[in-house]
Amino acid sequence: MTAAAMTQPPATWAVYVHFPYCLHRCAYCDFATIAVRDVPREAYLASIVQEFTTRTRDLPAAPIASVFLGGGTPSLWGPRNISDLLEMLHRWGGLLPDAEITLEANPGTLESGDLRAYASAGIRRVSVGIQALDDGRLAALDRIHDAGAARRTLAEIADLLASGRLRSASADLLFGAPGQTMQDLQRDVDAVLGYGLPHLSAYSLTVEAGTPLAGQVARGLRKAPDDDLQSDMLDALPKMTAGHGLHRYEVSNFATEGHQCRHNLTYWTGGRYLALGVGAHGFLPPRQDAAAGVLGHRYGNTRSHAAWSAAVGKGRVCEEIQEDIDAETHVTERLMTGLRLAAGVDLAALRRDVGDQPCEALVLRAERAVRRGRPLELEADWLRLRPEGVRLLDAILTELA
Amino acid sequence: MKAKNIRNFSIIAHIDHGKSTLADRILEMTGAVEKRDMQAQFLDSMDIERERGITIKSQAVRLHYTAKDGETYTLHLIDTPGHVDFGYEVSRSLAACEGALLVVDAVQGVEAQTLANVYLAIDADLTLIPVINKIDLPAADPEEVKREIEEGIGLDAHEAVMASAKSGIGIQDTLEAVVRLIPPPEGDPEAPLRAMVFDSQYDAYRGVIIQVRVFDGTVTKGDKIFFMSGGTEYEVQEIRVRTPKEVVVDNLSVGEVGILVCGIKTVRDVRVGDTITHARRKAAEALQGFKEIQQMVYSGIFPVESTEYQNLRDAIEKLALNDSSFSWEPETSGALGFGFRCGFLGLLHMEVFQERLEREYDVDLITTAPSVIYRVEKVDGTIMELSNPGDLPVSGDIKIIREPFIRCTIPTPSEYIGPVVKLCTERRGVQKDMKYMSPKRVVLEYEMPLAEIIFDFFDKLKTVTRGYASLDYEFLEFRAGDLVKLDILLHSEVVDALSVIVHRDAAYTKGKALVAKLRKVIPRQQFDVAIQAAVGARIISRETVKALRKDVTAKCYGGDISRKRKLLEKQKAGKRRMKQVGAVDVPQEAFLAVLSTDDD
Repeated sequence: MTAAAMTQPPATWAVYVHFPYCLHRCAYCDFATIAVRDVPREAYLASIVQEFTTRTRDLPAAPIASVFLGGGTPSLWGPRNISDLLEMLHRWGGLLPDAEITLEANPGTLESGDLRAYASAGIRRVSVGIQALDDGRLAALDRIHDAGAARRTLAEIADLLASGRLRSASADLLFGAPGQTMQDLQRDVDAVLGYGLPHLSAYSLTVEAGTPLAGQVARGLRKAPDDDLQSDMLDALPKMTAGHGLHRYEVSNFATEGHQCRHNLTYWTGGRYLALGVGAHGFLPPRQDAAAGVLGHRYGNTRSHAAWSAAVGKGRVCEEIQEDIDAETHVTERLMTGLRLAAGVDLAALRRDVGDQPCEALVLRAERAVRRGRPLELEADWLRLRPEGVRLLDAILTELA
Repeated sequence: MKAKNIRNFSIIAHIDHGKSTLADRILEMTGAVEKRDMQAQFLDSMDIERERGITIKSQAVRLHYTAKDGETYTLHLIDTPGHVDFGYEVSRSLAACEGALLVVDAVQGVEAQTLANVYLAIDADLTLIPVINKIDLPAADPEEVKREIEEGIGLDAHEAVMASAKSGIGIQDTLEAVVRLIPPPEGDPEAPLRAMVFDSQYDAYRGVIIQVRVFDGTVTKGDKIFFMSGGTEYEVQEIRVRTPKEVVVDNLSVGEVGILVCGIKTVRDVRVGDTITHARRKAAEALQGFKEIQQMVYSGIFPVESTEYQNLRDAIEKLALNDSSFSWEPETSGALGFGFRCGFLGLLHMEVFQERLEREYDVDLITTAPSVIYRVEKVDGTIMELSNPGDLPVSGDIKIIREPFIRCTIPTPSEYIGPVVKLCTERRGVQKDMKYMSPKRVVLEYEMPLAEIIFDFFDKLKTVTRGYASLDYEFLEFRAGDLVKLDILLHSEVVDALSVIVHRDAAYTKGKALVAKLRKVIPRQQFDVAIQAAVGARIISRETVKALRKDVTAKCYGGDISRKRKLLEKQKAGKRRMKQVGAVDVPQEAFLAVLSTDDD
């Protein structure tokens, strides 16, 4: 068996495009975002086109299975620009007929009819940042929309799903903010899924270092989220969503059958992806001058808008992270993302991708952890976490990695 | 060589008062070392000696000096270990001399080690020459220091040499004082050989080399010699002297100092202080002052990774080759696995040893809190010595526990007398003397259990006196005490490596403080961890580290896998530094928690 399966270019591509602009930066956010009043829609697209041209110069074209427009608030970009972008991608490798094309959208930035226009421009799946359906909690989270706007957006999505204009849709909920009870969360879940959405992402509110929220918590202006309550909520979510036919397929993600996010699954199963835009992260086959044993190359574009646009304007890129990934590192990555999946880590696929030997070391560690009573299931071709292990996943990972 | 032109002397001083610099200048002035070959602190050959400014091994050099009287003298400068942990070695080095230079810093004045060393020198009947050093510093106050020497030590400072070793001031005056004031060696060249071993070192090429001072007779290459206390016989293969380059000589006679190479395998085969005589013509009586050394402080040393055991063992063995005052034996701890119980002369000796292990052999260590040695008299009349609290018999079997007491000498500015007295009283100290060296400086003398100073006493002393007090101590005797074993239980299991022996009156406070401290250093785990302190079966304190309820990243940061992986690697590194005790992950610092529990 060859260890080099991964060094080959992928049969299909996933493409991530980052749109950094927001009208407002939320207190808990630590993504590469810029809050502006006038969004430079066309100029940004022009830079994206330049970066795409530069990056695909040495990249073998292949059909595109998924496109994800994330941010920021890419729903501020405008349907025409998005249509131009998708057309460019299609011209390069061809969008597969069933390609998953996702747009992130925020309720506060959408006018009635906007989502319909985006669907016409080629968007097939939307992911909306609902976060909560309670005005008090939305204000506490520093969001610019209210529950009314959120409900109007959800109703519009329900219509587009029913008419087949959208293939799929997801809503984000943030849970575990101080003051939220288990009943509050149940009400949010029921309300959102009541619109017939086949996918839900539920994230526990996390105080990320360097965010305004972290500063407020440190100065005692805000309470830190309660770990114990978040833990109970994490355990309760599968039951809450099951009534609506959605099952946990990843720690924070729930879907009905066939509506799991294909693009994200690419990240989580070691797939390669091209990433464009300020602060975007990609994973490509090894560069030509890479040392032996390198299976792939990860890069992260600079988070500085000025540096990024200046570089791409000159036909270059500007990366703040460049990493050659070897077999051992990749095994860690697969473990790290794969254990978050209900399906677990596909050991057969991993052996194919990195070779038998680096995989065996993992299996030995897993066997030891199982003997020590950790909530893991180890089969011939799969390693997965039992559901009760989800809330302590990171602790278990440190023993396995 | 005529004994009348020999002068054997050493230099005694408190740390940093300039002993090594003065030695360097003397070497330069006598032409023993060219200035361009001069390496600061020539005699301190180990890195750790240079860095810490202390001398661990004795070194003797032979110098030639033509004095103002026109005579050429042979000087043997015997550099002694600079710390009273090595007090016995110091006393033997001093016994090889007829005089000593007492170096006192012109700014700092008389300090603890000055006093301790002076007492040893007086015991050895040496002629002392005060040298007031650093007189060119702006804050120097030589007159005040003279007064301290006269009042505090009782030494005539009238003829004290004024010097600045750093600037080369007073070096010739010092040498003149040496030849004029220190008496030449006395001894009978025709009598049977008597030479004293004052140091031994291991040399990878020559085996053990010993430094000796001849008192009577002559030792010649090829002689069969006999160690009077060791009862062993060797042949002298080679005789050398350091100038400081090593030079081969044929013999050593009365008053001379040199190195013998006799094919001895380990430093343990030679005892410092032993008397060498001829195997065929033995001296009737050995020289006085030989003592078996006694380790005073013990600590468990374990590898962090159990796979490192063999490396640690090799490293300890290598270090022990050159350190006859260190003892070690295997020890198994339920909590820490396989390791070693190591005995040291004192705290500094322990620190230096551990530092060398980590630095020179690159092994990660977990060291348990230091313990003194206890003598336990059992009900059945037997007596056992133990240093590991885990070895203490059940209380019903114990009749008396005795612990080592020391005499502490603490010079301090008089304004801090109050806090120092309070600290010493808290540590079960009994004041024996209080002597004013000057209106501003006082020397306190306490008798105290050694166990009370091996934790954080010195740090505390420095804190309450803003760094101005110093401390020295010497062993006094074993005294009975009302002592109990304080156990720590993690998750209901006694962790042997955390047990300590404490005074019964302090058990409750200490137990509570220890448990509180451990609660802070032990991280949350996947289950509740109960931390308890117990004396016998009685639990005296309890706290719980609540189980970690949630430890999972909410979002996988989109495609930014690198960031997530780095977080994981950081967590992993944190976990690797912990020791698994039963099911509980215990960080290294927990094992030293007992060292400082009262800061919070």
